Amino acid sequence: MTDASLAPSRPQSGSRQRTATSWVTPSRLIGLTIGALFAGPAAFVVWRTVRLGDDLGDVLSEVPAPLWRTIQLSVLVSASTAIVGTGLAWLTTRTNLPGRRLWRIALVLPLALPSFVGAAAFIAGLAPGGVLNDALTAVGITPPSRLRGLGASWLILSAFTYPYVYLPVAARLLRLRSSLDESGRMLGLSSTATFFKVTLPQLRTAIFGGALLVFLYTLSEFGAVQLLGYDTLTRVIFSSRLTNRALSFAAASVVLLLALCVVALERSQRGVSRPDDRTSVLTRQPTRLRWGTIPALAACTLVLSVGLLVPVASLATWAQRGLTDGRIGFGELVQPAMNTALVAITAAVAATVIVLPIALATTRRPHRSSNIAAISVVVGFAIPGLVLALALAVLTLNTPGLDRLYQTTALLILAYVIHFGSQALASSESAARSVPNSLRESSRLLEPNPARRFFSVDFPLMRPGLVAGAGLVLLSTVKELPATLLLSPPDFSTLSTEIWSAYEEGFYAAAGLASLVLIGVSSVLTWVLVLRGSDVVRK
Amino acid sequence: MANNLDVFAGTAVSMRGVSVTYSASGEGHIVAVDRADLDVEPGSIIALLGPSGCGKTSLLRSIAGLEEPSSGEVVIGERTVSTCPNSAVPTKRIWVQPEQRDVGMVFQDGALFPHLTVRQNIVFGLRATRKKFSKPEITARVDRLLELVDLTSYGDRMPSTLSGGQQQRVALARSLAPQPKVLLLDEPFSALDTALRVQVRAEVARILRDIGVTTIFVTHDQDEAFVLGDKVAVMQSGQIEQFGTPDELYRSPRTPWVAGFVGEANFVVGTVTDKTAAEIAATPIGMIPIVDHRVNSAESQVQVLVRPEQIALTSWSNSDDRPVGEAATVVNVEYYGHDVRYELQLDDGTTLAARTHSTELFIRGDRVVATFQRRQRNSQSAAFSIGPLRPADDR
Repeated sequence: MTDASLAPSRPQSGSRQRTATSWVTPSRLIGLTIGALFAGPAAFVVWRTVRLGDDLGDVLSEVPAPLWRTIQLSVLVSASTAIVGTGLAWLTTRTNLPGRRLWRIALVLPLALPSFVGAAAFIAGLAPGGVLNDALTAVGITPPSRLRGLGASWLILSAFTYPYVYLPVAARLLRLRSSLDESGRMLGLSSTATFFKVTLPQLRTAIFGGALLVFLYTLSEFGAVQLLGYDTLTRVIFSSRLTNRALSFAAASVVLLLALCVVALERSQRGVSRPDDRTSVLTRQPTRLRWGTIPALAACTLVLSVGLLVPVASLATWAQRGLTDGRIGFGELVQPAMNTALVAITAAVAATVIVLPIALATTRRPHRSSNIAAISVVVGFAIPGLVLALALAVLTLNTPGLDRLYQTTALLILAYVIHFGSQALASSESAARSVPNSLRESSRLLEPNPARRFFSVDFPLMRPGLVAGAGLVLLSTVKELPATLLLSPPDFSTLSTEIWSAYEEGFYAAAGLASLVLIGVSSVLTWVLVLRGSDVVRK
Repeated sequence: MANNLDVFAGTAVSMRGVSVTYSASGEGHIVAVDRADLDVEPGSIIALLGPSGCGKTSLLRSIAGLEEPSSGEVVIGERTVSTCPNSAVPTKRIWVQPEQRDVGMVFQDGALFPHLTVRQNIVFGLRATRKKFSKPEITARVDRLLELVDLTSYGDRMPSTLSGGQQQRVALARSLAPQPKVLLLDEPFSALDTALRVQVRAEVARILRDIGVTTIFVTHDQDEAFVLGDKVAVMQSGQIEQFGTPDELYRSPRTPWVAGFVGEANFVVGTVTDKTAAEIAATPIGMIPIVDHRVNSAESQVQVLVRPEQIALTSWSNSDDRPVGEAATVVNVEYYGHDVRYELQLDDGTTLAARTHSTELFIRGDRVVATFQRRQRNSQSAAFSIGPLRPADDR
């Protein structure tokens, strides 16, 4: 034996020991730097708030009332979407509802409407000359003069967010072994009791996860509540951002902390019950609705009407009116549409490239540093768009050297990357996992150059996953409003800011047309990215 | 063990003209089960055996009430649980919901509730059933059942932590807990790997015989059907081809298809020489007595079923005292230890499979003489008409 055998084994590149070594390797430093980029704005918000000192006490007294309203709304919307989403999922997967395959797909479509567009559509629809106003007047009901407050916000946010519950629950129901239900029956339970004692417990994780996403969405919601005049924390942040910066940071911290708690809870829930992924054939005999068929169809029609048909009809009538008058035209939308495409595509590509090192690290060489980086990316997702925009705006304005970034498309794209990077990360991680170890090891023996190896083996195999991740970022960016509003350069309008300003100025026709274009783009993206590959459509 | 548990009153099951149809989109109706009749004696174990898609699972599910027959009648014990009115016999529709039939069922995947512990799974049916048990009774019953399936210390485990065989045993205990009149098993061992399957199968057989519950199980595995079943119903294309004891099925199958499905079968052409009571067919491998002559008497050419173990092999020689039989060449040898399976090519070109105890070993290319063996207990055989009938090739 030589001395070499007694010496501690040197970490060899690619060997397993590598996970236990130092934090200071180039790849880990890159990972931590990226992580800092994602967590930075959140940290800045908290730091600014803490630094307020005595002022904090003064402004905090203004927080409880809007906080209570925010929580009320979030709880109500989560609860109602949990019930509606689960009910619809059950109807479209487990019963003999006429046309259930078609319903199953149609009921996802409200996801394509940003909730501020939905709110705007309802307000415009109820205004004199709007489609709802006309319809209600025709049947002899006086239309409500204003659509405002908790009730309206609750209804409208529920109508556009229930798919967050509906989709995972329907997917779960489609995968759930029918033998479980049948066992319940064989052991003496009626079909109703079986649903509550056997089926529902299997859906709990899906329902809870979906409802938490809705909670987070509502918490961060700005456009719809602003339009509906319901004073939540985000509205406080927006209105006080110029006049009372202390208050706006305090409110932002509160929303941020709440959001972080919700995301942490959602993440921890995922691990709780290991999903039972053995699949089986669908229930051979779907539950017969019998007398319940008509009410079930009515419920589906109602949900789809509120979430899609009525808003689209309302927007379409205004747009059509404007087009026939010649007051508006598609020409005015060309620039905003190009701008939207420019920032969204850039953000999608940038987000995918930036999180790729983290995805590779967490899946291949997991280390505390890569976990920290991954969590930072999730923090970027949890931070509400408005809070993120506020942080980036104040940060750039008040930091010498960075102030040139303020109100540039670069900063706007950075905001999108931070906010939606976690969507790219999740896809990239599963893409990285889809390259089998054996393949990477065999390529290592054949091609010594790591870069060439990555581009000839890993990248082609990961590409579908990376493209899907980039697509999700694209979809979210197209629909985003508050960050775009706060960070866009002057005279730079996207489809969503165009809708917003047209609507605020009362140009319903222009807002309607822009909204229809936005809904069209986001429907196509939703179909291609969310629905096409999902069991909900394929089965 | 059995006397610890309540005695299971064996209950008869009878099915008359049961059909199960599915409406397939665009293709009208698919008939999964076509007018099946079946009588199950109290306390017996019945196998429904057939290739996939033959309707055996649909038939089982129609007993459970998970499938509603489109015609026919199902009776469990004295109670008619389903009848369908039809044009010939205008009766009232009777339909008893599955949960009210007193039937237990074990599914292919066990179908244990993943959110409940082993003990909670077993208790589930006791709580739900209409028979009321007191708390100490429930605890005692669950303990006895866990003991019965040999999982006493596993009560507090979650199903996902158990092996496939243990899960199936829990599923069995769960289905027995409410004391069903009939136990149904849907391919209960098919999800297990081979070695485990044999072991779990033996344990389940012991338990079922101990407690004497009427059992009907579905399988596509002939070994499983023969080892477990008192009687076996062989199904094909929605119909019960034959219902009998394993020995009946093996020795006197009603059709060449059944013959081939329940075991390896050779068919040799023979000429019926003696048309008196004991018929004998002259075949290339010797004279074969025929028990079941499923041919009309006008035909003199028949195909005779010869099982591989009914063929004896001797080395071919030119001498005159060589046995009567057909010269053949060994084309393949599979050595199993307890016996050896040979594939033979007869000089007329036909192939035969033979299984012999390995007193004399042949190798590929050896010349042998194949002879029908008369000494064995099953020295008689079944004969079929030479028609389009061919042995099953979809085993």
